Formats: sequence, structure tokens, C-alpha cells
Amino acid sequence: MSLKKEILSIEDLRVVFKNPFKNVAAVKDVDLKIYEGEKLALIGESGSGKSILALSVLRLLPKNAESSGKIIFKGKNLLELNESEMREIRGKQIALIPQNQASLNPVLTVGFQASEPIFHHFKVNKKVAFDKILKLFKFFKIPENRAKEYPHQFSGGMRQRVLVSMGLSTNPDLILADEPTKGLDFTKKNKIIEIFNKINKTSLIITHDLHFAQKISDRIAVMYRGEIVEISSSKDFFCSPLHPYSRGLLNSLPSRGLKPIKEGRRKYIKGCIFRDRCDFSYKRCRIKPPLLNVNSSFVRCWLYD
Amino acid sequence: MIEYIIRRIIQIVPTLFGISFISFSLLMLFPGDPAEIIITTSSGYEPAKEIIEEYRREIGLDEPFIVQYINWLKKIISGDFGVSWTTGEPVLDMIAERFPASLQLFFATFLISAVFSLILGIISALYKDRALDSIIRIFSLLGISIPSFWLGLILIWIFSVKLRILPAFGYGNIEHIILPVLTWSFSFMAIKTRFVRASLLKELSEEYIITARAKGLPEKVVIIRHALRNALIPIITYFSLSMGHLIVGSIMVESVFSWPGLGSLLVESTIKRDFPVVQALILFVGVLFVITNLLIDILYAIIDPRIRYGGKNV
Repeated sequence: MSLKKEILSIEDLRVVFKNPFKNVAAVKDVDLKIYEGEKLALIGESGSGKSILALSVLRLLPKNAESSGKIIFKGKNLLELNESEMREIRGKQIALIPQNQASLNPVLTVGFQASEPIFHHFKVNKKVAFDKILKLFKFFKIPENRAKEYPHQFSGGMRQRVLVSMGLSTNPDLILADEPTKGLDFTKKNKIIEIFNKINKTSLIITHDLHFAQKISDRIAVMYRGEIVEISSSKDFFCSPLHPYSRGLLNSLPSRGLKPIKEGRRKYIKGCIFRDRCDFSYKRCRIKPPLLNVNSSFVRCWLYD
Repeated sequence: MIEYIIRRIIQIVPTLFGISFISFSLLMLFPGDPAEIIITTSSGYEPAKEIIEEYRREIGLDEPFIVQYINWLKKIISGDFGVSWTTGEPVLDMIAERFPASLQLFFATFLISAVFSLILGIISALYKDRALDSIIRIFSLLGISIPSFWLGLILIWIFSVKLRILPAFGYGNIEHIILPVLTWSFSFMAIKTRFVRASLLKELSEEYIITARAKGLPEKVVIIRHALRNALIPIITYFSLSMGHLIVGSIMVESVFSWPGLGSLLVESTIKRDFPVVQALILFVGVLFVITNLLIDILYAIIDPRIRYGGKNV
């Protein structure tokens, strides 16, 4: 692992939403590295801050969000770049594959929208860009004659494939995919798995679908309440998960007994954020554990100290 | 597309019947006996009861309401709107004579207020919560709260009485139209500016905007190409519906500036109880309203592909 080149390195990232009455930290103390060529799945339940993390990399959070720490991409800290420097990176070097529900503009044709990054970044005319996107559409089995149709005429699975084509169109160095299987049924999900295995790109894939994560990722990062609690290789994670939360997640899968994780009580907890739901918590958990290195995995739990 | 338009036109027919029914019913709802009013206004003295009775039979007012309505509708469809009770002139001629003046005033106002409210609304949304936005919002608040007849009088006082550069009333030259248009535009564009701002801000909070920004597009392109196109759908509806104010709004402005349009005609004929004219005017406004609505629907289909292809695909 250490021989591989880092593409993106997130260090000590914290995202706070400033509100008139209360500030909310959506992402806390996140350290995450993405290496060239790997697919890293970021898993976690809704509201755990996964999507916020992806959007903070592209600096696309609402104005009241404040990010601190470092996001190093190709030697530059993205948090220190100005807007026009960021625009050169968005869509060209780091591409977002957004969630498929309402991410396409309803009044523009899918072909036009998908080809927008090409003609914007490579300064070619719209026709050339459109022809280029048709090739990608063909690769992802979207019929050529439907490129001039509108998003509402497409099924969820097809829309997802449009978004994937759009993300790949500029041949970016890194892909951030946000819940690519959300709202899709089993067969469509399998098609998306097929597609993601075909893509040979460094990617951060956000999902709450464990099955999907297992099928496509090299490494897994688990996020819980804004913190990363475990980073392991995909193989290790599904054989022997380290963090009690990770174990709970896997045990709650239908194939593994459908055992739910214990309900939590308190909203805000000092120390380990999982301790109110954890079966193993003890006195030491009142102090927040660091991200510990255990046989090439990382885990934020005192049990491994 | 064609199918869609035909469907919309068929849907209009019952609406038109409704409008004609209501405008005819007004005759019955107005206080006073029409036959008495006609004879009084044309002869100048109070007639005897027998004369009124006879006249009522003569013009068919003794028949049941529905029969009267159908007879009236038959005439209307063949283009006969009757004659004015006060002047004896054909109603259609009177409307045709006054219509161009109203149309001029309205289109000048509509164009100016539409252009300015779009520009101001977009600027306001772009500079949300900053100084420029606040200025525009204060300006539109003034426009909403100042009554147009008062603004009209103030403008007359400034430009005609004090500065003596523009005529206070009259019709014909370009300088005559400036003050009425200015007065009407000010209140007309105030609400529209707010509406444009609100629609644009709503679209900018949609998810596809994040997608557009994630492509690395400059904010200008995100707003114009992505947000504005979607915001135009409610904006066009709202703007076009305001066309229905052609007569309603003109009543005030035309009265203040003695503008010889339909608005002042409506006021005059209502005061004189000149029902054929009032009925025809109301019918006219109603039909105009329905036609603009039809045009809006067609325009919709052009802007919004979800309507254009509705029913064929999911």
C-alpha cells in the first residue's frame, strides 16, 4: 500500500455548519488518503456526513459551511485555492457523479448536459463534445437516439449511467460517486456494479449499500456521526471487521442474521461517539480514541490499543 | 405537440360558456330595472308603468332568464353585441375605437416592467443579502405599497405642474404616454421583481445546480443556462397571467391620466348603467384572459420538455 501514490489526502478535516442558534459539526477529524487506481468505498448511514465529505472536497458546500484542515490534491491544498482555480479542478480533474434522483437539469437534453464538461474544459464546440459523449453512451449501453431526450424520459438506472458518462467524459484523475445505487432495484444495481468494475479510475464511492461496496471496492472507510471509525481493505472488512460499529453493520445484514444495532440514547457524546450503542464500552471510552493502526487497517476504538 | 394544443383548445370551450353566462347574469344582478333605465336615459323623464311593461315585452325582457341568455348568446356568436343604451352606437364599434389606446398603454407597460423586473430580479438573486439586493428589495416594496393613482398624481405634480416638461393628460403623442406608463410600470414591476428573485433562488437550491457547479462551470453559466431556464417556467406563467390586468389596472391609470382606453370606457358605462357595453367589456376581458392562458400553455410546452412529451413516456 505504501508504494502507491496518493491522489487525494484529507488531513484533519472538520466541516461546521454555522447556524444562528447552533453550530453543527457534520464532519470531524477526518483523515483519509486515496491512492492511485484504488476504489475506496465510504460507507455509513444517512446523515453520517458522507456526502458532505465529498462535497467539501469540491468546495461545493453551502455558504454557511466552514471547512478546516487540509485537502491535498496533487500537492495543492484545495481549501486554499480561489474560485477560479477550483473551477479548473471541478469536472476536469475531480469529477462528481451525483445522486440520480434530481441531479439532472429537467429542461436540458441528457446528451447536452453530459457533454457540458467536455466543451467547457477542452474548449471544443458543442457538436464535437456531443459526438464524444455519444461514444461514452454507447459504451454504457445508452442508445444513441435517446441522447436528445430529457431526464424525465429516462429510467433511474439509465439516468445513473448518464451521470457516470458525464463524470468520466473529461477523463478525470479522481471520481467522487455519491450513492450510485440509491433508489435502484436489484437487477439495475447489478448493472451499476458491472459498470463500476469496468471503470478503471481512482474513485471515492459513497454508499450505504454494503453489498455494493463489497462488490466494487478495494478499501472501505466507515463513517459514523461525522467521524471515520474504521479504514480497512475490503477483504479484511467483510471477513473480520474491527470496530464494534462495523461488526454491528455487518450483523444487521439479512444474510448475516438481521441483528440490529442497539439504539442510542444521547444526542451528543464526549469521548467515543459510538459508546452509547456499543456492547463493549468501558471506562476508557469516555476519552476519544485516536485512529489506531492495526495490521494495515485503521480503527478508532480503544479495544485495539 | 399539436395534439396537446388541440386538447387545450377543446378545454377552453366550457370556460368560454362560463364567462359569457356570468357577464350576461350581471344584467340581472345590477340593481334597477333595465327597461326603466333605458327609457329614462333615452327620453329624459320618468316613464309610466304601462310604457315600461310594453317596452319590456318588446325587447324580450319578460322572457325567462335562460331564454334571454340563449337569445343573447346567439346574437353574440353572430357578432352582434347590440347598441349602447346611452349613445345608440354599436358596442363593437365603441370597443374597437377604444381598444388601441389601451393596447398601447398596456404593451408599453408590460414590456418595460417585464424587462426591468427580469434584470432587477436576477441581480437581486445574484447579490442575495448584499447591499444591491437590499436596495432592489426596498424599491420593490415601495412599488407594491404605493397606490398607483397617488403615484400618478405625484408624477403629474412633478413633471407637469412644477417642471412643465410632460403633459398631465391627453392622448396621441409619445410624450402623452410617458407618465401613465411610468406610473403603471412602477407598481407592475415591483411584485414581478420579487417573483423573479424568489423563483431564481428556489432553483438555485435544487440538486442539479450542484451538478452544474461540479462540472466547473462559472457561476454566470450556472445561473443563466441552468437555473434561469427552469425559473422561467413560473416566471412566464406569472407574467402572462398579469396580462389579465389589461383592463383592471387600466381603470385606475386611465382615469388619472384621462386616457381614452377600455378602462375608462368601463368606468363611464358602469356609471351610466350602459349594460350592453359593460357586458361586452367583461366578455372581452374574459376571452382575452382565456386566450392568453392558452398561449401560456403552448409556451410552457416549448420551454418545459416534461409537458411537451407528457403522457407518452414516464
